[in-house]
Amino acid sequence: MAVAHLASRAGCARIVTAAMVGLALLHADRASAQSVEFSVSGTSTVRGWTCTVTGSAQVTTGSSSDSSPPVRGLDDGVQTAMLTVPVGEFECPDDTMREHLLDALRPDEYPEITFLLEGYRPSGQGAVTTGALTILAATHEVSFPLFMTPSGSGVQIEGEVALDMTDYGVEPPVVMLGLMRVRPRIRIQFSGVIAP
Amino acid sequence: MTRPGSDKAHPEQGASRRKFFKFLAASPLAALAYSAWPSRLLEPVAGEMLPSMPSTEPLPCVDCGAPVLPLGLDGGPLATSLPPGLDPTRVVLPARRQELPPQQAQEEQLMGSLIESPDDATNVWDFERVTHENNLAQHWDYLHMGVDDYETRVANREGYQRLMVRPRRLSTEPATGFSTATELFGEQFNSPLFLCPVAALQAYHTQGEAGAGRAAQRAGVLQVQSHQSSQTYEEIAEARGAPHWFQIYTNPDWNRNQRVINRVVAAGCQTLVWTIDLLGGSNRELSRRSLVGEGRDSELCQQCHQHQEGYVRAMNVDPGGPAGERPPYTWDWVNRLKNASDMNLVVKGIVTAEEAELAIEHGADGIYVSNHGGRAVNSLWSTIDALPEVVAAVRGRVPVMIDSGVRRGGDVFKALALGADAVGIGRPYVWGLGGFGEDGVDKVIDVIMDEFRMVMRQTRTTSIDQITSRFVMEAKNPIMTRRNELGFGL
Repeated sequence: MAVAHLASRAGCARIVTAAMVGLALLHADRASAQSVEFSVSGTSTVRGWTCTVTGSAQVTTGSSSDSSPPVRGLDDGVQTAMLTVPVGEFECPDDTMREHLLDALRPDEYPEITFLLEGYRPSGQGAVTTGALTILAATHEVSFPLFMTPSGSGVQIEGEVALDMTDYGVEPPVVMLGLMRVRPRIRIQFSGVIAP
Repeated sequence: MTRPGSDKAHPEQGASRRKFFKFLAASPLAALAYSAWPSRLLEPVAGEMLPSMPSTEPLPCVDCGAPVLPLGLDGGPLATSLPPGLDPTRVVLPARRQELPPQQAQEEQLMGSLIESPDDATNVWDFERVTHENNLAQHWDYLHMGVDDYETRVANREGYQRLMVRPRRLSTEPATGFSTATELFGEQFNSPLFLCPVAALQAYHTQGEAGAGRAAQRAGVLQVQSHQSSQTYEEIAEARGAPHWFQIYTNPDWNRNQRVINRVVAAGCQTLVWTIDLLGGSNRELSRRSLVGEGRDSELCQQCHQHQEGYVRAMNVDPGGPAGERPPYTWDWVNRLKNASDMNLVVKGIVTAEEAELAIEHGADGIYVSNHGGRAVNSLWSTIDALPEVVAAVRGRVPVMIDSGVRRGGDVFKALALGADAVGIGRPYVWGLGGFGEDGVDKVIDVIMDEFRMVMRQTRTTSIDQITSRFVMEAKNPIMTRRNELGFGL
């Protein structure tokens, strides 16, 4: 699996990922886009915090192959997958916190956070996935276990990745003249149902 | 004549010695104690480690770049020869102790560790360290404090550490089924564990009581909301998707109490818990010291606290302000609270047989043995020590709950064995919440329940009603191994 340092500029990264998804759609057996619930949690020098947002998952299944092996709930495997988070729609426990979060994530310049699947390996209750995570202008490869549970006509997916926000150029908010400092380590969790 | 004690003198004895050292070299348990071993033991044990080393190639010294030989090639008794081409004058000889296993695991076991994910937790104290690290000092101090010099907090732990478990190895019949399910006032729970009322949970995580409530609901355990909660009863019940119990601090103005009661009843609450263990006040020195400093006057604190003009806690908005002075109440108040609604009434803070009897006599539907987590009277009397006399007085007429000092699944088992029907945790779940929000609470419940189920298996009990006093006995002194530096680990 190639390491994806796609671009240093988010705009370029998004064009590339959109093109890849578009090309894949032309050859895909089935495609779907569903809503996925995201939560971002972290700590600070005052207390823990969690903000949430509803994003989307665009998944194309394909014919099973070495590069898209069958995985729990998706017998045809996955050809492409992209998770998208609309930054401007984050909800936080209070307006001040939301304001600080958006100041750090700059939705006017970078309206989306994206994860583009690059590869996966079926494992246990789902798969170990690897892909390109783009926040602000930075893209890094991340890898995390994805739990997949057949649910009705779809597949319930759940995943979690921990990262240091400064690796993506996000400045941890500092408020009250430094009395409260958000710590850079955050956890992003997501869950939703994809229906091929 | 050979020297006594040498291998030549007694070949079998020598082989036996080497076998013993080999065993020690391979033992992770023995490794934990390496630092305390005398050198006459360390050398032969280190020698037995040598054959398993993957390579005799020198490694670069981190600080100086010079080659460093693995242990055993450093000119000691086990050295054979230097690798060809190596200049002996440039070789750095490592200190033997540097090659010994680090003591980190043992340190973390005794002190907790700064975990990065709830899944990394080994026990509840790992969450204590994380919450300490990530919360405002004043918030931490409020949660952490006991009264006076913490003796009652210590007593609560020592009470459990003095109770021994009498296991059963085999059962007479093959076990059929295994359940930790229990029932309180006709309501089914997956576990006798419950979340105690703790004030102001949003001080530790923005999810607050609602986050803890969702975790409790997922685990099928009872949650009791504090009257001093950050969020309203309605918000928490909505987050859980089900009603929960409510703990009340009464006010001399009865109308205020009635408004609170009416409000929670309207939201679906079926059980009211009246706390009576703080009516005499409490000497909370750590909090006083903490608030004297920068915290009280800071803009940060004033955003949330009562010294901000117009501030009232969530459950005091409608009744018209925070609870007032706490005058000496009489037992008639139990009747009054009982008759104020159709809710069950549990009286919290009972630690004596005579007051258990009086509470039931005046209408209590349940007794809650508590010393407020060592934050009320510095009685030096643990709740687990008080439990037997309360249970004896209650005689099965009403459920008996207990909290204060519960940290392990083994503690849950011991409390059930002495007659409790439900066992509460306070600080541990707040540590989980403070560290990781509701995921942390999930994990704290999981950890304690895993430990509890293990003790059930170790005693061949397969349901809560099988856990009786025959499975515990009292030791003379508590066995406390966890370090309590700065109060961690209580």
